[in-house]
Amino acid sequence: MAVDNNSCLPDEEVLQLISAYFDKQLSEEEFSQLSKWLVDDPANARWFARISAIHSDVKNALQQEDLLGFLETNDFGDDLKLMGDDLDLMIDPKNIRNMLQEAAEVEARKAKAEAITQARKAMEKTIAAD
Amino acid sequence: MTPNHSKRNAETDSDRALRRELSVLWTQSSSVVQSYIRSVVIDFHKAEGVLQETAATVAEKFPDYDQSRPFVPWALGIAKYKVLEALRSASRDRLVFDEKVVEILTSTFAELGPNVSDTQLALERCLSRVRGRPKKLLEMRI
Repeated sequence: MAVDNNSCLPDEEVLQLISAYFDKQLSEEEFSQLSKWLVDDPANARWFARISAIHSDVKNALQQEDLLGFLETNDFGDDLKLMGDDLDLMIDPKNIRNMLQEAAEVEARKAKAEAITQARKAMEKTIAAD
Repeated sequence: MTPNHSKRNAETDSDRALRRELSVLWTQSSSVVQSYIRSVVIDFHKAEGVLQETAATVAEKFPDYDQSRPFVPWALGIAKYKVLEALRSASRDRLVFDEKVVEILTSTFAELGPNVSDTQLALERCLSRVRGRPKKLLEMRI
């Protein structure tokens, strides 16, 4: 078993082993072959990691679609209806990062306002002392 | 404001900053950690359990994390111990990677870094175009 250098992809036999691994369909002998292939060459492990990431991402994308479909086809009362078209935006985990950035910006604005207030108070004190 | 009061406020701000930093880093890296765990722990529910354990330990140990170093390898290091624990408890299963393979995969995922999840957007677009029987087949397969 080797990496097919023409296409730079692992050969068909390896791809089938990896697929069977994720389907829990490997025999003990095939599993040993796969383990040996992973140890043989760091490039093999890189291919395996990339393929694993695709499997995982597909699973996540399908779960997200399922959840959205479920929410769209079920009546969850007025609370959920209020979310309306923004529902997919709220569930998308990428929005968590945006929310954190927004929160950081709010904190920064608060800190700036606080600093200005403190500076103004200090100035007032100085003027009063003069 | 008393010095004690001011010190308490400073600690709270620092904790808050740390929590915010952890949230951002975990959001960026969790899909890589999840892919890594799923690549070794094939059972879906066990893998989710390992991910939760990992997330809890990452949060617990985050104050010890050296922020000058990349986050993904650090989080994967924690995930590796959780994965090995899970594999040890599943040692009766025939098809479980040994420690050497787990070690190799840990460093491979660490090399790939957060960019490995860049494919997620492209995949979501592709999947939204798949309909009917092929879609059903894909759902059954995954």
